[in-house]
Amino acid sequence: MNSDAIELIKTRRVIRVMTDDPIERVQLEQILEAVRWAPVGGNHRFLRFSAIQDPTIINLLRMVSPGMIQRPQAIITICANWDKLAELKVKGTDRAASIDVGAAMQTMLLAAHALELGSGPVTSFNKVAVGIILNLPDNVTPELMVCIGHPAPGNQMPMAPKKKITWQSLVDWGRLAN
Amino acid sequence: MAKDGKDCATLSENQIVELFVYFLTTARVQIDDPNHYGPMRLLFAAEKLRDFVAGRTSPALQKLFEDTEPIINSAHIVVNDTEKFTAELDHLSTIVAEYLVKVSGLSTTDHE
Repeated sequence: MNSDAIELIKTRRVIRVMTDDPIERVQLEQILEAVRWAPVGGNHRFLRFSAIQDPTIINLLRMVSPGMIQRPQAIITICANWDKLAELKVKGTDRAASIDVGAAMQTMLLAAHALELGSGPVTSFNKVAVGIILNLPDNVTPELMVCIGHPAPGNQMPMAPKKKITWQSLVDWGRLAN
Repeated sequence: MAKDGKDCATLSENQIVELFVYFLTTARVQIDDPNHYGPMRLLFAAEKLRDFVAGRTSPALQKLFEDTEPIINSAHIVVNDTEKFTAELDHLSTIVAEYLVKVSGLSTTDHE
């Protein structure tokens, strides 16, 4: 068993407060290399990734993304190429895209954590505005952004759950009870 | 609310753009987001405005910022708990109303 991987999964947190310290491009490349290995349905490759380190573009993306609480040093936007999906004749394309986006997101969050960087996903953003800022063609839409930076010490503004969550509280052994 | 008529807490054009764009683009985002995120977005907008003018306001307004900041922070944490979130927003409403009454020079009466 690789206990390091389990520990990595259990200690990852959404980082909502980041420092102004820059991150190295090579670190961003390592995260992007990791996401190349994320599982995708049918090995279809209809996701594209936009990697941004330019402070001006990051600022513009923040302005149209109310869910982006943090001030990241880099943003990787997971985009879906809908023409490619149509070519593949994948049934339930929305669902297939969402599953792949989620897998890509978690892969990048864990890769960032492994590099001792902080990260946080953002889904509350204005898709039209982000598409224009990133100069995306009409057939490519931004689906999720991953913010990356160095975690600031102190409160990370967690969203408190209504009640304590354990793995047992999420699981039914065998067939689901009523 | 500056009584002397002097307004030292002006916004730069970049700050105006940031707030203006935030409101307009967030309006669209909120159609897809959970309803209770709406109040949270307004809190963030209030924080943006506060941060833009920090240190350039009257002492009274600065105190309002300081009094409300911890409550806003608490509200963000309990946003998924309607009862607690509502209580924090009511607390904020009380503080800002008391601020308005005070800086307007209005009298208050204790109701038995």
